[in-house]
Amino acid sequence: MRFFEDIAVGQRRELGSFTFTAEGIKKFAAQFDPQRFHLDEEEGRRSLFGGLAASGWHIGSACMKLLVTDGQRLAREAAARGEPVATWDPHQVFAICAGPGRYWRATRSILQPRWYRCGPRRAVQDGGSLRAAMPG
Amino acid sequence: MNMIVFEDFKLGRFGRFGPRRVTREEILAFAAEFDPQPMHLDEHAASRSMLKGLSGSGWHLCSVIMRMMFDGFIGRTASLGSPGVNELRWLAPLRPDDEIMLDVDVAETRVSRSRPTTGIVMFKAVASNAAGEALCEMLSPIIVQRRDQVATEQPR
Repeated sequence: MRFFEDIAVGQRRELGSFTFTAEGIKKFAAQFDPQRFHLDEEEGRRSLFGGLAASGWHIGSACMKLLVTDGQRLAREAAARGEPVATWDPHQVFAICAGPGRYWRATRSILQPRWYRCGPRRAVQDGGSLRAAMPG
Repeated sequence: MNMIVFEDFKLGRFGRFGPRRVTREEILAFAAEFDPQPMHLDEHAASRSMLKGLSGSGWHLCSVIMRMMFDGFIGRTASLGSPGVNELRWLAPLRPDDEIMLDVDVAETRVSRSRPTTGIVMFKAVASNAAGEALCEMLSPIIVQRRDQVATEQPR
């Protein structure tokens, strides 16, 4: 999954995992989303989430990190094999899965690659989806 | 404390919030933690990227928007959380020292079918820089308690 032509509809790729600790959840929330159910276990239990829950923006940001890290890993591997390395611009829209959880796996699915209208040397994936799920 | 409840949200213009300044240091710190791409971390590499200069991560901008919405009204709203984001567009790059303004509209309100003691309020939020250029646009629902529910079930 490097250049546009290497990307096909239906491709899925597991990107790795990210661990959400209570401390990390509260730290992000204190800075960006200080709603009570993101800051306090007891408030979380009394909320619709049934427990301390990460901000959806924290989950989205963690998915971004997995996506970037995976891309960098692929680029390093390609470079090690002496292949040309593609650059990519991640300004795509992803579905965000919110909800509580400490450990998430992210999978990226390609829904629709298409040529980028403004610059024929670049391409985008329209409606690519990124799915974060708790394993098990 | 007078909480804002479902019935308080009327269709149309809701409010304008900000400015909130985003510094270069904040951009670098967020990028290092969540989005370590060259155009978010390094001026020289960024100048050669599609974004033509250092820019904040789109997720950083969204997180700043969330905080602006919290400070602006969600912190005083009987909010139960959000099921997600329906639409999200990153329209122009976030630059160091941008002063962000946020325009919020209520796009839709409806009583929840599955949880009739609550309502869904759909917000449209547009974040702009000082020049008035729109940087990010999102359509996002929030679950809000209805007035009767707050009166009977929120003694704390």
